[in-house]
Amino acid sequence: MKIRWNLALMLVGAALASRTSQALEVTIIQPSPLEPIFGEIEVVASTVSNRPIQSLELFVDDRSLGRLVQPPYRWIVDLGNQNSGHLLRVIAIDVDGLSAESLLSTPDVRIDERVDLELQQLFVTVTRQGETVDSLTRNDLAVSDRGEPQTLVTFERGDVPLTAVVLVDTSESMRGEELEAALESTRGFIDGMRPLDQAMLLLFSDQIVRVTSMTGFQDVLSSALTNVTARSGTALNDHFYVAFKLLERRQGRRVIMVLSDGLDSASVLSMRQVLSTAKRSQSLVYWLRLPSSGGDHTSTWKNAAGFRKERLLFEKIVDQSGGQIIELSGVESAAAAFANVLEELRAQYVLGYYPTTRSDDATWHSVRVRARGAGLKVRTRSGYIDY
Amino acid sequence: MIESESSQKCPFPRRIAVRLALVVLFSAGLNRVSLEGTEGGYLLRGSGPAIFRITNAALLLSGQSGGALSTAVTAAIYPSSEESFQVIVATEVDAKRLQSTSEATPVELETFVYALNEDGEVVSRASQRLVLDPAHQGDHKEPTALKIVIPLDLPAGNYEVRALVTQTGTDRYGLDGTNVSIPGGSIGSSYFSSPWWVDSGNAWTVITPAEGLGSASGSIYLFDAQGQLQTLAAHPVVSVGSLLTGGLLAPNPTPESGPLMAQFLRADGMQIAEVPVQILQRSNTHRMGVDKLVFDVEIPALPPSIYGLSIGNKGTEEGLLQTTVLRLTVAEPELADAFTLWTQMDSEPPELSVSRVQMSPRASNPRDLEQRIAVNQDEIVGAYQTVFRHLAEGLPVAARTGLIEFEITALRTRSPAAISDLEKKEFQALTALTANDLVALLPIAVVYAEMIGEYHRRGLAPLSEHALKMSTQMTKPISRKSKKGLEPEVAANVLVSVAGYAILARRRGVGEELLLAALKLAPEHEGALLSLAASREQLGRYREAIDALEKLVGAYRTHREGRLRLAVNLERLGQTAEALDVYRSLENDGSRDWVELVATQQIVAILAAQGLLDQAASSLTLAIERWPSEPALRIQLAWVLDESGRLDIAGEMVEEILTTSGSASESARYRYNHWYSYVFDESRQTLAELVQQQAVEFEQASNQGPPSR
Repeated sequence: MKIRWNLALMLVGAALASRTSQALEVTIIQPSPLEPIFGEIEVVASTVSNRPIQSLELFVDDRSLGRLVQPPYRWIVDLGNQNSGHLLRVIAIDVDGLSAESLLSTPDVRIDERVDLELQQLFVTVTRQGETVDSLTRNDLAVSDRGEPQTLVTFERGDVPLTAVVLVDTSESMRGEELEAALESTRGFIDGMRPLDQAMLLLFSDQIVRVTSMTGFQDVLSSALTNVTARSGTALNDHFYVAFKLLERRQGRRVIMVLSDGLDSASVLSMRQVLSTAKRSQSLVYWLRLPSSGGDHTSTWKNAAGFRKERLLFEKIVDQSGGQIIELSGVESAAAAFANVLEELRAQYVLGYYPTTRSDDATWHSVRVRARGAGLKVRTRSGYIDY
Repeated sequence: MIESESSQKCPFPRRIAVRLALVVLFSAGLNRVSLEGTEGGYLLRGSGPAIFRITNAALLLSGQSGGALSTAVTAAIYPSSEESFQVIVATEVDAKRLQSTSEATPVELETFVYALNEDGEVVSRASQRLVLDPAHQGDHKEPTALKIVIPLDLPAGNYEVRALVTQTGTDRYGLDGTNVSIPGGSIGSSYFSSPWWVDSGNAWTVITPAEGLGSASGSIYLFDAQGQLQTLAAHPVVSVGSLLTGGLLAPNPTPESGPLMAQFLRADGMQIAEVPVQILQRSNTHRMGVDKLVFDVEIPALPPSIYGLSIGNKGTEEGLLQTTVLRLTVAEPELADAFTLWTQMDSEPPELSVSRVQMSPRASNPRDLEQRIAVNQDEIVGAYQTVFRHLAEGLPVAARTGLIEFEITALRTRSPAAISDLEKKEFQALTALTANDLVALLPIAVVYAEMIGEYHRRGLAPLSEHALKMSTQMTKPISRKSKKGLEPEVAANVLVSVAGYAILARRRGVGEELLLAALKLAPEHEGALLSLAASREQLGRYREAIDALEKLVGAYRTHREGRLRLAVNLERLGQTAEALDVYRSLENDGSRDWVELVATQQIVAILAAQGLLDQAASSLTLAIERWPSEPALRIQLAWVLDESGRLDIAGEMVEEILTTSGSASESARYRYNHWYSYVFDESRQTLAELVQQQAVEFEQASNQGPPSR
């Protein structure tokens, strides 16, 4: 998918925190006043008071969107897709009836001049003998697109925030200690998130078992991991597809992590159908592959050959994304695998270039990145669809 | 780069960390300790911490195949001199299953090969250490399949060869075993060597022993066939109609006997097919009085699966010769063409039981038999009487667990020979108890059927096989009409129920036989026809599934599930128009059940495949009105919209899924897949009542005098 970067002149909205009482303060700490906001967003407020708080109420463009009577003071609201600024107001009232309010105005995206920059971003992992190499410079990496050398216009190293969908298989094959270990490992991943990272947990069997919003709040994510029961079959393909779609409208480094044995038995979509969506996606896929119970796997939807074909396609999707399959000896090793993936992501290079050849004809551009230096291995997505 | 070093007399392998799960099994203080994720198990007395450590040696001696590294082993003998044989052991490893996180870090593998005599004593061992160093790999392709060849010195006798492969620094291992026989001072007249088989593919990375037999090439490629030097194959992949080349050593002269035949065995050791062997070459080795035979075996029409293959002659009992068993995968032709190695076919450890089936006739004098099992016939009779008593009292769980505990403690070892001995004694006891009327022992058969899964859950695969064998043997007379005059429908229910246990334990061949037997008794038995069809679907035998479904729909014209399955299978065979007609008839009858939902999903999939995306979207939109909380429909609609280029609307549809899913009920497609829960539960219900009634009758008869049945 082509990324259109619109050069914009931002109107900086002022964050106005007005005080109506010296004893009570409220501040909107998220979103940022500089940030144009669309779609589903998270609004977070904090208070300072020497008396108990009775309630906090959120207004967006003078419309009340929710009242909270206890912390955490966070709201998930959908602001639609219109390109317009918004006025956010949070009013706090304490037990004595004192009130305070915080105002925040967000800008719209001002389109003074439109330029198709057509920037392609690549997230690149470089290793030497299994160890991540994070000391390369812009000149050490060469990108070719359809075989043609490209000029790098952006080059970043290290900790770029990530947006992840974590798919955790909670089907009946995970019953008992397996499930507990899987959930505990996922908790480890959440703990490893950094302040600007965002994630959504999607626990699935043949249907969605539990899902969170896309958030950076670790408590919100962790709370989804309690009282989960393993049951029913596995609709991996369906939920894999859902994950791609959920990340489609996000920007930046998008990651799908799948903790599953990869044996789908109940999906309405085939892995081949998911592949067509995956090819359009820019998401990195990491498959933490759980060992399966052994023997040929069959279901009335798929015989053994069908399972093998689907698994090969899954592997292909992971490979083409620039992600990785991590074979787990058991679910107890998932925690270490999650940590490894996070570590790898933190050490990635983010390269940007404007392709020298554009066709807009929905054809495949194969991409290759080479690193200068002995024994270096490079992993990134294998290409993108030009349209 | 691959470095290797070998040792003929290695020390016992060093300790690796393997996590064990402790399960309290008996109140008598026996604990079962099983390797996590394997089917192995040990009985230990006393209590201890929940996590133990176990040595490689214990792993090897357990004889329980499996582990995270898929491994297959074969062994063949070769006359190395005028007076002795050398054993060549080939251990195949799926290198893709080595820890992939290590990437460029060298991977170290150790292979330990042990030969155990009939008393379970280690008589020879060797090891091979490998370092796979990707940094020095250069242009060489990373090995995905390793074949490690190790020679062993063994005196005359029968042996079990076990190979353990461990990845250093991890708890990953693979364990497999095979049987090999070394003839005595003279070849005698009753011996076929272990056969050797050759791979059609050359994709193995073969690791030669650093030391050992003469030249490296001699040790690996001594098994030439038709002038071509070949490696040993531990698990060939073949397709129906293809030729598999093999060889064996036979006495010269071979005793008068009939033609050589290749016997194909199911995982439970039962013969499923037999074809003649075509001898290509017979040559004198000029050593040890043996000839080398090279032959082809044409793979018969078998459904895709893993089988055992053994070569034998059709001689008189005295001249009857039989080789050990090779494990092989029969695959669909296109798969066998695409994947020439078993490691490419399946990343899971292959089913291993067939290679452990003891095919060579073995001495079984009563003294040996007593040594392998710890109970006498009276005690077995007593155990069965206890089972009857529990069943009569309405305590089926106590009956089952009591018999399981009895069998576990009865076996001194878990070797196939010990289990076989126990089976013999148990059948003798059953005969004594019921005057050979096995139908009267229906309750015991049912208890055994329930034990198939119970043993499986406890990780005791060989005993699960044993329970399956016992239950099927005991239910067979039912298919020849019950002596107790069971109604055909009831007798069929019994067979369907036992078939259910077999199928759930992944013994589909046995299950199918029982279902066919049930249909002989009751040709329109709904459960048997449906189960037969679904089981065949699962194996990809769609035409045969259709046969069963046509009978089902013929007998029950309004059978919605039968019609749905019929349509699904017609679609699989390319009869899309016919399938579509059936789906539409199911969609339009207003039943609003799971069958209708699946039919709708299938219609949409067909429309989408035909490029009729707008029609597909319309069908889904209408379906969502009927099932507003069915997430699969929205997922399918989102995908269809995506394919139509309406990415944003598809995105919004996916957002809706997050708030509409989470239904407590199972999905329609899961229901389609879990047919057995419904079919078998019904037949089991009927059976449970019958079993208790028979047990009560048996108890009453026993209390009145000696058993008369």
